[in-house]
Amino acid sequence: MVISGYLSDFSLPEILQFLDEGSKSGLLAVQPSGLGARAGVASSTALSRHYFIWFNEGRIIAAADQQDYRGLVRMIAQRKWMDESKLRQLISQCPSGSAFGSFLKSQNLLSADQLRLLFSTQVIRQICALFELVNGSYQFVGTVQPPFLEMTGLSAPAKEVILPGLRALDNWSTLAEKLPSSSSSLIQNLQSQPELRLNAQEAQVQGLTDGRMPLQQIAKQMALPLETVQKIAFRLIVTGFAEEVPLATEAEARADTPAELESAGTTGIRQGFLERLMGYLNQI
Amino acid sequence: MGINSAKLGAVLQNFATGTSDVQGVALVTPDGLPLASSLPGGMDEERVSAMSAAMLSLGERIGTELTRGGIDRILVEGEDGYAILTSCGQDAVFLVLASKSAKQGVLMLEIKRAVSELKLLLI
Amino acid sequence: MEIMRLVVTGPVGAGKSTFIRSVSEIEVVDTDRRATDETAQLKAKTTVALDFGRLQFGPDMALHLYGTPGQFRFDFMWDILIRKAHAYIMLVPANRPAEFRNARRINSFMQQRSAVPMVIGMTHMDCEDAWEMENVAIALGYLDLSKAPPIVTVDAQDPASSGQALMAVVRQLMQAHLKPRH
Repeated sequence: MVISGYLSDFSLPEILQFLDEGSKSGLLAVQPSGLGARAGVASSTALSRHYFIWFNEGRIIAAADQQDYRGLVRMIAQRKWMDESKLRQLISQCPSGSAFGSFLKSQNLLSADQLRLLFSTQVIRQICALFELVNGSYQFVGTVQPPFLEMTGLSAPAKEVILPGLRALDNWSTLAEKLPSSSSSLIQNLQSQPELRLNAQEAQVQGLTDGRMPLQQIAKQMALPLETVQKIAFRLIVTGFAEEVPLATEAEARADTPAELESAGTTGIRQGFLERLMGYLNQI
Repeated sequence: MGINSAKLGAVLQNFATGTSDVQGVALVTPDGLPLASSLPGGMDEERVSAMSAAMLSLGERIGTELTRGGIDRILVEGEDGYAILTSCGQDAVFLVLASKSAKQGVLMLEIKRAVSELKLLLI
Repeated sequence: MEIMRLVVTGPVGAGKSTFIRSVSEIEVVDTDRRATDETAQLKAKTTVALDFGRLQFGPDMALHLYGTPGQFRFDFMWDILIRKAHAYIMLVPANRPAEFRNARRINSFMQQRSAVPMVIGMTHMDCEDAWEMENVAIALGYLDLSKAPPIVTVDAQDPASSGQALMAVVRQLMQAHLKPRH
């Protein structure tokens, strides 16, 4: 399976949601073609750079900005937890098919806390920074060996990165078109049950997902700027908590009882009618 | 093309304030996007534009299918007033909202004048 | 006259008007206008009220097809049309991931207003950059295909392919007859 395209069409949060909900395994490569103001470091080298994120069944297992499988080793050396020659030696000892981080832990060379710190720096922080990308392309390839040397052995659901990534995001220009409309309401997403911790405001908006109240009104009620509520709503949508429902007109938000909804459809159409239609269509 | 939207806005504004019983006006593209408007508070310009375009396109379709010829205007008469849609050349639709007390003859004449003025600005 | 009303919906450029033209036996009543928004990059004309097509298959039996506009500013038309519908088909352009979220919004709009049987038709599947059906389904929020509505591939320009999609809709209606929902 290969999926590729532009972040302007399918944004990074949407890609992460897709890979998470689809329980995908493989390698996502992101290539920037323009950086946000904050990430604008040494732009010429940064522009040609690729970012790599590896997935296993919808969980992120590693991330890197080079494909030399030495990112984790560099991080350990940088922290002076081990020197490079020792690490080189350990690499050759690491049994194939096991994460390098887990191997170091099994040798009592790294603690669980140290691994967590490495994972957070390598995965969470690195990917959150990618949310700042204004333009770029992505490619996901489904058949890829896990990068054992880059792996701490820890993993996180892709969606778990979306929340902090979007909370910290300053420049929403690429996502402007994705934001739910001010006149839309939210309903609970019944297809997915994310196990993520919402902050107070997110939880409050989530509590108002009744399919009736437009975001405009939620903003008023919470005394927040509309845009803030739209961003919160977007976070809830891409993490699978909520679904956007356009409301058309306020008059239409009136309560249609489920009973009414059910009866509207099938009444009036006879089975014989359907059979005739089927026969007719068969001949087209 | 270089449409002078400030001027369009001014003509609409003049029409809305200078014509008795007119409560709101909008000039929209045939595919339902706002060009300029002066609408009562609480009315969403984008929504009004889309509705105007949908209504006029259906009206025009009725004109041809039911052999009524080209459509000059569509008039919606409600309990609380009128909504009048007038085609304003190739590129625009003119919507006028008027109260029930409006005199139809006068209103139609005023609209005709405004449309010819607007058409010049749209060329 | 016995009439079944089918709504054809979906985001901009999914092929709704084309689909109705493919299956209608009468000249389709359309309300096309020259597009002046971002739609113009995709196609010259866009539906602003509805498309209407008909398929008469007996002296007193007909299928009426109502196509909706794709843009959100016309959501009042979606509302008008779905309320009287016996079923709907949502067309999704599989080659344009930018529209997946819009398709999802349209679908939740319809689901909120109507519990009639529905089918998803994936269009533009022959394009090089089209997503696989299963992946589009995930992007539309159908994570478990066994719980998803029927998904069919549609070539909206081809009457036979469009007819197949209609059959999937009719099959859904037949099933709804057999097992009344509660």
